[in-house]
Amino acid sequence: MTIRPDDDRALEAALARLPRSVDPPRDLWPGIAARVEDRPGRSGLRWPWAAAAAVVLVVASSAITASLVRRAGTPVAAGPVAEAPVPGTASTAFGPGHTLDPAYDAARRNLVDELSRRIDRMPPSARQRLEANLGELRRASSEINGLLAERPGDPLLEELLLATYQDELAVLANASQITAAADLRAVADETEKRIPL
Amino acid sequence: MPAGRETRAEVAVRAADDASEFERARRREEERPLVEAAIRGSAAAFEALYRLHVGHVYGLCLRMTAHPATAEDCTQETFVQAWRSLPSFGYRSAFGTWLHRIAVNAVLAHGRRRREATGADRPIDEVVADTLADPSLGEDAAVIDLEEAIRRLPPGARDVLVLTGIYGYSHEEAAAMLGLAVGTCKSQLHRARRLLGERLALEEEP
Amino acid sequence: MTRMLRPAFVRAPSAVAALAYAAAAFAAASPAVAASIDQRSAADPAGRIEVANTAGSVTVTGWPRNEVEVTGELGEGSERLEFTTQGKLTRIRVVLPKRSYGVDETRLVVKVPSGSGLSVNTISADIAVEGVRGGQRLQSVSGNVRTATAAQDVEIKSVSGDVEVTGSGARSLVTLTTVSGDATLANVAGEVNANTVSGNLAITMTDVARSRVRSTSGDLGLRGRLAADARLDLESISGDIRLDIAGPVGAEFEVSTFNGDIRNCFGPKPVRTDEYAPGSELRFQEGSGSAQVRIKTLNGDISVCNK
Repeated sequence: MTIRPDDDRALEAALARLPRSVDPPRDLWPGIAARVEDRPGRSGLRWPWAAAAAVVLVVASSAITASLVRRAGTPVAAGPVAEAPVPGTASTAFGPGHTLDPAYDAARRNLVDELSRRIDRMPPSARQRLEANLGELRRASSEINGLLAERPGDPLLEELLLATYQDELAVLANASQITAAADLRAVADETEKRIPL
Repeated sequence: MPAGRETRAEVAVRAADDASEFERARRREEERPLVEAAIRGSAAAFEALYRLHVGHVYGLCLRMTAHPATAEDCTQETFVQAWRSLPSFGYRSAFGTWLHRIAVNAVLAHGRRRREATGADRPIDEVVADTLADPSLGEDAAVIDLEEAIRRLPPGARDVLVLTGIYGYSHEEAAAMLGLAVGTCKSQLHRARRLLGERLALEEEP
Repeated sequence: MTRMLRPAFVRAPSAVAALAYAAAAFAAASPAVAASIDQRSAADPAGRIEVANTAGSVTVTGWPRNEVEVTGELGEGSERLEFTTQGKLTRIRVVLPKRSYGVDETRLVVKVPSGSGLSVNTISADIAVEGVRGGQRLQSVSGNVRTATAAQDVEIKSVSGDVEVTGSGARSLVTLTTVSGDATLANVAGEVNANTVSGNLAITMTDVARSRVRSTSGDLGLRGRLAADARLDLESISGDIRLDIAGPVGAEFEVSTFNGDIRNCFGPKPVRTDEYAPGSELRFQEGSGSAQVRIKTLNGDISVCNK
């Protein structure tokens, strides 16, 4: 059986079409986490915002994928239903077929906790500005969610909404990090020293 | 060529893979702060990177090992090793490419360990795969599709085909990752294509 | 007297006495008045300098000596100025007492080898940097940040402080994050990633390779010459966006807004995306280049012109 030249090209095309990404059947992270510790000097400082930012990014990819898939005529599988949103924040749904990972709300709560521990080190005027701006971000996401309810799947609205969620996490994380980095209080015990990222 | 059997998930993944160069570059840029934080020691940032890349790593491991449980082990090994090697990452390549290099090492090391453990010259599944690959044995079980055909390739040929044909690495890159001479790599690829072509042509026979 | 300074863990007749030793040792260490600073140390010509101060000011200037010099005044109530060198890293930190809540201003004037990399962290102290050619990372909660950059990467973060960056025209990466602070970037080239919630950003680039500029409600203005394969992304929820492109234009434009107006000096007019709903979109090719420009807003107005 000899191979014709077009078979080779057809084979190449078929290979290139195979999915490069395959999700493992179970979550492998716990096994990895067990062998991965924070490096010395960094213990006690977790930045859940980074995981949440990735969550938002993953959803962004799905949103792009989903809208591409929808255009191809294939229905989108519904994702997991989001938990009840944190009070005072906008609903985290994009409309039918799209949801944000519940881990997003958890990460946001963590970040708010983290920030509230540091907020007394911020000058009052900066703190007020920060709170006012977080309010602006919530108003923006609320406005866009409202529009999405009328026009689900609108790519512009989805992109802007994701950017707003990402920005909120980044603002919370950055405010904490900038404040922590300049926390110059001496500590009695060297091992307690807060080392900012 | 067998076609049209893609599942919805595969369509979705392919669509994501087809994302323009700009999108890919944009995503790489968005993950740079995560890489920086992970290098500085943040396990949470590393977890985020894990979630972004695990599909590509597991996909590579699965196709190279043709064995889901082994692929899971190799995937975990890859990320653990990546964590340890982060300080030397250096941004000389894309983070995903770097992970792939570590993954290939993990797969090859796994193969070596198994040989050492069993004391055999070659692991059992390699022998079996080679046997199946011999067309002179007369294939009775129909090859299901391209993925199955790839799984049945002998490991050396499969490795090269997966890296070049599916993941788009050049001969030089694949040879470097596998520790082979470029010439050996090319001949393995030729062998893989020939075997696949024969196998898949068999399937199309009435 | 010597007994008073023994560390607290030395066995003392009673716990109360141990506490007394500790309190005395602590009291002896903290100065009660503002102190003048004048220290210097040899430094690697391309090493790394880290400066941290809470309130007051930090001024860093590059100079041709392989030496770091720190002068200024240490604020009353500060515990000490820490000035240490470890290999190529020089650290200058205004250390505060463990339980301090109010703090007086410390003025730090630092001279560093001009090839150094620099990291500065403050809460409300203003930061001013000049003549430093290495990479810079400048962060403040409410202090203003001002710097001039060479060809190395610069990262600036602020909550409410304003930011001013003057580039050298050489390509580099400038990463900027503010919450409410305004920012002006002038004469920068290469890549800018800027993000703000309500700050207004005014960016002038001699050469745009890639840029991503985003705001929630702040206005964004970018003026620059596009490289042949530039990738430019401007996005805002309610801020207005103004793009002025200098020189010849060869790019593909994708401009969309939900509620805002689009003004396009290049000619093609926006179209409604949907007959029954708001939203307008503008896609056109100008010239023959392969640059890509994407501009998106929810409510903000967009203006694209050739200047």
